[in-house]
Amino acid sequence: MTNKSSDYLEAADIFIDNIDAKSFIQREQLVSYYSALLQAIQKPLKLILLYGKPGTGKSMLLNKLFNDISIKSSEIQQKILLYPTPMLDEEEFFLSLAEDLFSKEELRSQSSNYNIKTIKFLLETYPFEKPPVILLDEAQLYSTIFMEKIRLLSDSRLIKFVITLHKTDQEDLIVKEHFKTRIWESIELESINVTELQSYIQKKLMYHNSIDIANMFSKQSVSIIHQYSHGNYRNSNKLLYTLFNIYAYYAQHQPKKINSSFISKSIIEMAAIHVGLINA
Amino acid sequence: MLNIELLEKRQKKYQFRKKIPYIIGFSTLLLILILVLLYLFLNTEPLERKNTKQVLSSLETTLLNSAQVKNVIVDNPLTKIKKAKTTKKIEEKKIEIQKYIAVEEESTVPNVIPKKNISPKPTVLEVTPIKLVSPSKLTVQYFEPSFNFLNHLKNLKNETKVLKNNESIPSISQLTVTTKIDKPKSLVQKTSVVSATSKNGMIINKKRDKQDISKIIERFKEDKNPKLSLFIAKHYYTNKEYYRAYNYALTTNKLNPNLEDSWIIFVKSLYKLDQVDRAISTLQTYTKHSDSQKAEILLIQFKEGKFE
Repeated sequence: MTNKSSDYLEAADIFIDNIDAKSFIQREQLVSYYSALLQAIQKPLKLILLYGKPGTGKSMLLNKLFNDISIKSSEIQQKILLYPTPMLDEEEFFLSLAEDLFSKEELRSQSSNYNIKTIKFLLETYPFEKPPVILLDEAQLYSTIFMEKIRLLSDSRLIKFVITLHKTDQEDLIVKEHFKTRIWESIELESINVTELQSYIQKKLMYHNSIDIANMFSKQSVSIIHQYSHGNYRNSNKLLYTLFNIYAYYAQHQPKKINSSFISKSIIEMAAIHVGLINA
Repeated sequence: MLNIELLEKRQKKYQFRKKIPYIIGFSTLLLILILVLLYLFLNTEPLERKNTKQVLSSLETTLLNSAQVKNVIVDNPLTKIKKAKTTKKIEEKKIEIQKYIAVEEESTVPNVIPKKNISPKPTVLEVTPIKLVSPSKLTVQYFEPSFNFLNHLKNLKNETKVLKNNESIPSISQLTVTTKIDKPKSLVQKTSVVSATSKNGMIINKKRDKQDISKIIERFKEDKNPKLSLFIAKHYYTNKEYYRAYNYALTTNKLNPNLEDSWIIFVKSLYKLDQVDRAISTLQTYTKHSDSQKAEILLIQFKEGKFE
């Protein structure tokens, strides 16, 4: 394997889709969302809604928040919990919540059944100095009844919830019917534009010392990627991962077919076809 | 694992699909352009031919009108010079016009004329009308008559005078009288009428008549047919141009003294020119030598003053 080929493979690995907070890229728009979220948590709000189209960085933002507050948890005396995947069984959820918030000693006095009343009783019996923050990702997957219970729990002001929703009709329904009067802060994440996508790609590559490859991304080539990914982080990551794999293949087998000074439109299209962003 | 070959094929297919709308659009535009050009090409050629015809006919008309004007100012005593030169010029122009008309006729009916050494392919036919589109001669022919118009007016008078000299019946003094009746005043009036009401459709008809009679005059000058001169005399009489009617009737009588209508027009013109006595005496002489009932009735009307 040639050096160039391995460079492309390394670049491909950078764009493996994950929500690791360590890979959070300080792009302007996301930073503003993040600071807005931090401020909202400091306020006496019951519910905070984070919503936007799929792939706009909601989960990434939630992970970043969880990571940052967890580190300072003891310092700021505020507990934070993240539930990245929804739990379909209510009792299981409340049990997990109780176990994460309270110690075993505190839980001994409780019966085996865990529900909203149990949690409310525990919160009143063993109050926190600052209300704990519960992060619920993919909240659109929870049932309406469950979300109603979450609302009732947050009304006690003993606990805070930050929920993320995909911007769908269902999400609108939830917002309108259950949280309209209770959500005090809602943050909408918009799709990424071409400039931000270019910044995102180049920062990510430069962060991993792939400076030559980062320089291959002109505004024109990023614009084509943006056109196919519709400003979606997840789609962009998938496309870029495939793109660098194709580059790695050509670098090893047909190096004359690629030019290392710019990203080929044809290869972007090939990657988009493979990922399913183009129907060909 | 990536199947690069398959991806390449799919990408090329996608590229082609992306270009299809552009290809269709471009083809449609090209087709429209071709159709428009074809339409323009097919319609432009006949138009040019039409224009050529119009130019030629206007040239002819202009010249003929100048000849007509020549007759109008017959008796103006101020215009008695350069007759011969003008007549020559007019004759030369007539010949040129006839040549162009002949060429035009050849070009408009190319398929009818069989040529021995020329293949019957349409390419040969296409060349002919192109030559006719903008010949420099045509332009010159079109403007020349206008420049010389005033000279024509002066010169043409003498030509009519010849006719006058050939007369036997009217005396010089009488002719002078008639000249006073007809000339510059009436001419000026006529000209002003035409220019003042040139926007009117009726004037266009008059011009057309003038053009027609001019053609007949030209024909008469060529073959001296008394039927034509009689027709011209009748025309002028109908249009109340009695002096001209008199002249042409006189000419007709000289060419053929047996034409009853010619004598009738002749005496009627005299009558209208206030030469009542001469009209009656002429008619009396005529009725003695002929059995014309028309002449007898007219004589009675003249005598009784009932003729209008």
